[in-house]
Amino acid sequence: MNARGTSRLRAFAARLRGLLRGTRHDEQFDDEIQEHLRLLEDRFAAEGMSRGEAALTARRQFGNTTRLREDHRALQTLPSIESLWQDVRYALRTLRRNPGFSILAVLVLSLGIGANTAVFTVADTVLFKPLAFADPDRIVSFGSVWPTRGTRSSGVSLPDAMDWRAGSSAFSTLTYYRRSRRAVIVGDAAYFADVVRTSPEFFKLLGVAPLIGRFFAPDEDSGARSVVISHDFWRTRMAQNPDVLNTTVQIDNRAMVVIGILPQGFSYPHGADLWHLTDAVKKEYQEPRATVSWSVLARLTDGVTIEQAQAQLTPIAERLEQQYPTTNAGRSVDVARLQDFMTANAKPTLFILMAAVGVVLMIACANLATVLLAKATARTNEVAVRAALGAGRGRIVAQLLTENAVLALLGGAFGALIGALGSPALLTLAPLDFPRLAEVGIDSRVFVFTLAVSVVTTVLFGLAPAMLTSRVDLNETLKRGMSRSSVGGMGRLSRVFVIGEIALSVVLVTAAGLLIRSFVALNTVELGFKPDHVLVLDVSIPGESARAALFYRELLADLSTAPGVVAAGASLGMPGRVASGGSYWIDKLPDKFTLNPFAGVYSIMMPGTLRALGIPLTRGREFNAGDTADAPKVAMINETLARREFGDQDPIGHTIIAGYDQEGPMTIVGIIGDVRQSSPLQLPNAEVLMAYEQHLRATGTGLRVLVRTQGPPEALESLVRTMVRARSTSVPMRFSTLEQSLAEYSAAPRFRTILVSGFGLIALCLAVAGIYGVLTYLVGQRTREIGLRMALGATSGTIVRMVIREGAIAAAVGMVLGVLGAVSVTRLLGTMLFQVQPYDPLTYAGGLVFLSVVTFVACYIPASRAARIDPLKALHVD
Amino acid sequence: MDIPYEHMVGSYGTSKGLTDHLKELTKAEDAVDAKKSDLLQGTLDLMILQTLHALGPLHGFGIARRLEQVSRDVLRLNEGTVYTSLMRLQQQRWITSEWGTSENNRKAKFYAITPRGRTQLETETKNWERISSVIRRVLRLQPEGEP
Repeated sequence: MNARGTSRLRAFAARLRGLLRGTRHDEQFDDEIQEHLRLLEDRFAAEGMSRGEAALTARRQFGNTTRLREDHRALQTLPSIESLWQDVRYALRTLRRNPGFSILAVLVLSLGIGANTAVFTVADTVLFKPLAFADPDRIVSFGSVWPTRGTRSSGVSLPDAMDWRAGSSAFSTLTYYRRSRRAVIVGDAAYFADVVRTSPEFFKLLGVAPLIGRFFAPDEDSGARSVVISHDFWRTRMAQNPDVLNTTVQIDNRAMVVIGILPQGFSYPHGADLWHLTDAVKKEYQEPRATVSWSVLARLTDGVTIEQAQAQLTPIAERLEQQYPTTNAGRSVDVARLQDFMTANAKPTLFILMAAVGVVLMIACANLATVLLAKATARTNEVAVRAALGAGRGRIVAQLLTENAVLALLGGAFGALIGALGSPALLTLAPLDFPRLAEVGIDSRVFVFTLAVSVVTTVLFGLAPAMLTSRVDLNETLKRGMSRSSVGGMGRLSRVFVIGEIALSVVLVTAAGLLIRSFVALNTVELGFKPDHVLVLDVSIPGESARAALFYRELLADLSTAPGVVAAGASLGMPGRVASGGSYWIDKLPDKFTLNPFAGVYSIMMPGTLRALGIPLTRGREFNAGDTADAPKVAMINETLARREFGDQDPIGHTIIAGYDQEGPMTIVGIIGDVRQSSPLQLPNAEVLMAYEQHLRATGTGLRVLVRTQGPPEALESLVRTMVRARSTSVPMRFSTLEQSLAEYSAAPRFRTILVSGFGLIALCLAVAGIYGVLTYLVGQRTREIGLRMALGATSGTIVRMVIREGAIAAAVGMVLGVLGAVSVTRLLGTMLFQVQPYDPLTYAGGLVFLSVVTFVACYIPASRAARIDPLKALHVD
Repeated sequence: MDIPYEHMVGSYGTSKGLTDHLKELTKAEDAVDAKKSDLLQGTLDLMILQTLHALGPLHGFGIARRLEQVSRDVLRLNEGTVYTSLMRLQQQRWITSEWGTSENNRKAKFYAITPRGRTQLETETKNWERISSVIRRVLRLQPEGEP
């Protein structure tokens, strides 16, 4: 910095110091000057002058003290900050003088800003905040994708993953894991817990440190039977015992040794309780290549981007397709940042929420702007006087903007409060599978956001009115009030704001309408089974499968005759929770075949399950007590499979081979109706149903017992519990209902629909209030003109029509713009819509009709008021 | 049409003309003042720095007396301007101030030069000497054609 720059900087710093020092300095300077004058006086007096003369001469020699004092004061301050401070004080005084308006404005602003803050708090943590791992942007996850079929899966094949790691240099560490529900016994109590089988580098890759103990050693294998426990599990199931290390828990009847406890807040995968090493360690290549059930994470090597990693992986996937055509045909791989992977489901919902609250805030700002424009009429005298006294246009605009900024900042302050209270409310409504909900909290980012929003709202609602208000023709105003051109300008701008508001609310209302229709469709879709009145019991029998088969057979026999039970069955998966799937072949295994994990759903069940779930049997018979392990293998198929493979022919009697296990061909004995197996949103897939007792080895001993009840399902819980306990004392049990587990599929749609509809309604109210306000203002301004017209013979009907036409034109233009906007925006709703098109004319029409009716009422009131104007009184108004 | 200032007194007239004209006038005045005072204040700053450097810490009255003495009444200025200089010199950190007691036991503010001030004094003195030597040389030049 050159000398001139340095001296400027020093002057600025000195002024700043002076500003902060206050008025004491001025008094001291005064004393200094007075002392100097006194000394001069004494000198002249000593030379022989009279006291009076000496004083005069001293003053003359000294010069202008007032000027000096002013200069001193001027150097002690920063003029810009002084004027800003003045403006703020003036703004507060002005706002205090209009309490009604000020309170309303602050209220509207704080609600608008508060809603935005609440949504942002949730969205920021769930979507944007970096994950709580070491260097989280370098952690990636993999997904399998079949481009030609259009399917994708978040699971990958483990031998594939090993090939990716071996064939590319993009990853420095790689870990794989698989989670499942397992029976865990701690001490005397048995629970169902989320257990994760993982490779040794899991925790090291994520970069988390243990709270107590250690994690797996890099070369440790599953033989060591080590297990790591989550903080929540340790707290709730193990009483947070500090001496937990080296104690044992049983997972599936294998004793595992506790080696470490995770810190609080660590939850990856979401909700997991225990982690142990998988048997696949060191045998990764021996896992079936067809099974795409593994989750794989990797850390990118330094300097490698995701795009580069993807570019390395795609050719490897192609090579694997050639090498293993049976399993890998058509399969490729997708790599994405872990954070993007986790938030992919929540993103659309949160984006639409943020858009909705943003729109509401904009409409609120437009409303405020129109109110400010209306009030500008009353302030022209004040502005004119200021301008006449020498205030430049910029200064006046600055002062008006400061007023609006004070409003906005007050609104922002209360808004932050509302946001802080509102985000917990949002959390309770939010679907449980949103990632990272536990991490949501108010932090500095939220405050910065609130401040930024306040600033933006100031500009949005304050700038245009400020500029218009400051543009007054001094001559006209000081003589006789507002000039006609100014009213015209303000009226035009108000109309523009109103059109904007209507357009925005059309967009929001249309989006809400589409979401409502999707939600209704979701709740009324034909599922293929009856989800009500079904009690679900997760249970896992220790010991060997023969014992388990006997257990289930006897339990179901007892249950089906118990009071209050309509039917009872047991199945590996259930609708909404597909347990297994894969390929099938009719009549014989072809010489060359490919394995497709999504060709069909495998359902393994006990007799009676169909009746328990309310699934119709359309042809043949279902499983019965005769379908034992020694009896001929039988299977059922669903209508989709029958249509797909047999067309019009009768499938009964044909055989089917499923890729589930090695039990060989099964005779098709029955056909069931189609069921939406994966979720209510997805169409039914082909299904192969097999009898549990004929596939014991592959299925294991854990099934879901499904009981259709006459009354509420929960009422039978204790009965079932007693029955199970009577047969096995230490079996873990978990009860729920089928409706509860299906509710998670409608959780996100419900969340979206309720909130967007709510915001749409608010937007509508605000827009209608806006049009009402503007029309009232315009009628007020044109009172004289209306009086004149009536005096000249216009009927009240003419006046009413005139006013309504004003409003109708603005509303019509707004609606047209709104429809155009809606058409381009609803396209983005994409996957959120179910069984309804983004351009669904019924929804659009419904929204417009609703809006028109409400707008008409809003226009009619000022119009009828205009018609009741007394022409005599109106023409006297000056 | 802008009605000139003199005719505005007492009548309503074109407010725009009035305010604009006022602004013009005050602007011009400030400009002239600025030029005149800049030059004079600059020299005063230098003289004050030299005084403080030579005589050590002084209060405002003492500085004014010394300047009166040295300039032998050639420079006649309002004594108050000394304080304007002192304010500026303080802002630039070339002098510091401290409250103390004067010769006749009264409270007075004493000003002293800082090392930075001494450097500035040196620089400014060199500048002055350079300028004055150039001017001296220019003034010794004879007009062309004259002996």
